Amino acid sequence: MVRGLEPRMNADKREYFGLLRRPRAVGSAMLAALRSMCVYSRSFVVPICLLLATTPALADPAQDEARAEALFREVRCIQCQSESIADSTAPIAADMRRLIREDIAAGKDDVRIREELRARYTDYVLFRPRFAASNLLLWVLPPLIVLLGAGLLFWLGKKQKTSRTYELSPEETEKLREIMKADD
Amino acid sequence: MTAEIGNFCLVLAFMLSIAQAAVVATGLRRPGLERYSEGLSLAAAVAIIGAFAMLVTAFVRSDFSVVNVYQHSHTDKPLLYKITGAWGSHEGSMLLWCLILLVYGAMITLRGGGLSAGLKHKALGVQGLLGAAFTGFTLFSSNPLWRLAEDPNRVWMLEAAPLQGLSLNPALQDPGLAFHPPMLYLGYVGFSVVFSFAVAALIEGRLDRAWARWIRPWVLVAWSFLTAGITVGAFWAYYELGWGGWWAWDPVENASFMPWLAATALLHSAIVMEKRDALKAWTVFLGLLAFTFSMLGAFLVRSGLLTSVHAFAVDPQRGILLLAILLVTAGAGFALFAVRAPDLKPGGLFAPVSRETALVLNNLLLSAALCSVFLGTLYPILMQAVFNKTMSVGEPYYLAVFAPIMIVALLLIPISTLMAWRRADLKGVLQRLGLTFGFAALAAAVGLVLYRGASWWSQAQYLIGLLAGFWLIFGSFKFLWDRTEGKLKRATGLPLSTWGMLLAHIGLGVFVLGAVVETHAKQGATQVMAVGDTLKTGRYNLTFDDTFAATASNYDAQGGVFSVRDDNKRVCEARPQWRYYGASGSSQSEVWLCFTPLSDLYIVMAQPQTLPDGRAAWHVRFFYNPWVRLIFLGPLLMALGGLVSLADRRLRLGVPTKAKPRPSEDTSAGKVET
Repeated sequence: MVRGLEPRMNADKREYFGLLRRPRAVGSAMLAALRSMCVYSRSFVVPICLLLATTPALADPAQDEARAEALFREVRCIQCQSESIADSTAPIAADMRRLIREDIAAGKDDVRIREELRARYTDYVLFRPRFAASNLLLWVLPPLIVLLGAGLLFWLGKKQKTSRTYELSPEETEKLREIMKADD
Repeated sequence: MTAEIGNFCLVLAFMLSIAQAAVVATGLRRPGLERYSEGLSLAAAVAIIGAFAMLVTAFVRSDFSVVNVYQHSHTDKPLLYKITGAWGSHEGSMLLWCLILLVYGAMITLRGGGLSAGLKHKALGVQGLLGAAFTGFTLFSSNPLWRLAEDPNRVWMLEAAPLQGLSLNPALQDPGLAFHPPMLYLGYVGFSVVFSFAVAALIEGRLDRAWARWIRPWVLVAWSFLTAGITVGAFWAYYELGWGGWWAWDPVENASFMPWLAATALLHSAIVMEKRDALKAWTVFLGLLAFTFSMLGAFLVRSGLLTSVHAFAVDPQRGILLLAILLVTAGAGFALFAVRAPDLKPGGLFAPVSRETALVLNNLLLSAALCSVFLGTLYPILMQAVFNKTMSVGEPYYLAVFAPIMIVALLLIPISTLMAWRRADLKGVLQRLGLTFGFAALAAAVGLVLYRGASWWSQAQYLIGLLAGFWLIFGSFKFLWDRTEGKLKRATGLPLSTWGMLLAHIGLGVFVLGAVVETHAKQGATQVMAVGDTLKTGRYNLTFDDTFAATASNYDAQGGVFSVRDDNKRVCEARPQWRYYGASGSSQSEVWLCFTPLSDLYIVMAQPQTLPDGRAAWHVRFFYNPWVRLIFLGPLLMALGGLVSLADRRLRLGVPTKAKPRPSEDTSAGKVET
């Protein structure tokens, strides 16, 4: 962490993000982008993520409810048939919804809420599989197919183009002339 | 006698299918016998029709000495549900699968007028093998025509035929059962014909443009039915299951979606093969893949691996048998492909900027999308089987991986339809589309008014989705305008296949708009309500006014009378029900939809309970589903597009030529009459 920043952050964490908050939309957008980055790849941007985890959420009831709704869609009702707790009418789903709302009100961020759910109910409870080594294929293969395929197409196109503009060497030109002459 | 006649017919169909494959096999060594496969395919179809008719008869007559009828029917059911009950179970639907498979086989004979004899007979041979495998499976392990005494499982320790049946699952007692499975199977099984032709062509070692042209009508038929079947299923789930949604990324839904994605890719690559004699190996590969995914779907639903609304409770032994059929047929097909594909002459090269390159890109994106659905469906099963770890893959995964890939594909469509074959002028195309894109962006921006997003991210998704939908629709109209120059006379002169393409693309755009708006702007509320209570969703107020009772032959219902108000202006009266099906002792809610042209107000009442003060109350869910109609309308337009395309004379190869057959001219295979 940059030394100079520390005292200001400790004095008032909100002030540090005050810059971003004006205009508010931009601020929350960037925060959300950073957050989602943390969710997907916690490993290599650890410092930023730690920083984020310590900042209090920009408390706003509408924002909180939206976060809750988004989380409900990601959490599986563990006693239902492939239903999220957003869709299910089962009592347990109602309980889980209440718990998540409480967690959000308590200032926990999405990453932590997911982790706690996972600790309690295993991976089964998350409809969005973690970005972990065992799930690598699941997350990486489809985009990889697009990239490799597009790369292959590009390469083929380029190869074709270069072969079209292939120039004959002097010997070859001479040979061609001879052949053409012979043809006459 | 019905069950015995039916059983006889089923055995006959099985034997005839084996014979059909056998005569073709002998023909490979010593030509001569293989032409009998044509007659055999017709006979097998007649036999299986007989077997199926007998099953339906047993259901209509409520013959409870037949196990399947006893388990899935009841004398109090209305006639429609007695008939549809015939395919409401694993065994019955297997027989429906066989029926469609063998009838498709007969259609190869009947509609294969323009084909070379060699290809046609080899295809019939493969179709015969598939027929034998599936009728054999039905006959020996999943026979719906067994009498109680013959049932090998003998779970029903009954001395005499029972007087009453156990009745059908209430969720299936709906007109949806009359349309959804037959249409879906017409789609799934239709790809068997493509599979057979792919294998036949690989055996013959010759793949040409005629082959692509010949399979195209079959792909179109199967694709159109599958599209319609999935849509009907989605609508059925929407109004019957009472959860307010239409697609849950449930493994079984995915099982029907995977062959659809493969077939959509095939439909487009077959065009490239037909026009440019390229992508041969890839097209054949997709032809094998589409039916493989159909069989995979059948296996997943029937193996007991999944718990889902669709899954039949089936013992694992049948699952193993289906897996064996899947592995042997698909394995043989792909092994043959691996051996023969290197011999296929690569087709013409094409320029980097051309319609064919755009279609290759389409195939690439569809394959990646297919891969994500495949992984998402099978990953949890494999993790469970291999590492004994449970996990879930659901909507958030597909929105993160599948959706972006498809969005790119959607955005490419208007550009690629305007590109010329061989060499296109990308700059020119983009210039021509500039204004169209502007209009689409404007429409999407206007659409943003409908929805005040929860976060910038969901708002961005919404905007991009709307843009893709409008862009697709406007792009299709731009294409039409360019082709006709606004003159009606030229519009009537456009080939039907072009109209089909336009309809399908517009339908896709309509679907995208509906799906995006419904997903993002949907509102809902849930509450336990007694008479007099109100519930608010968005700007709508729901008031519980009264209760009523209703009775039908198969259920007793308690219903609620609700009035829906929009700023104190009455919108509609809703009468949802909570039905008790006495025959099976189970209950089911009946959704009420307040239709408007575009959107639905969706009201369900369930779980009756008594409040502490003694009043009767229900768990009521009230949804406002904006633009949901488009979700079901769009794919139906797509299916219609497929059928319109099929009616194109240039594609109608199946029409028997009046001209004398020219056996010596094998090269005339697939020649098209114009």
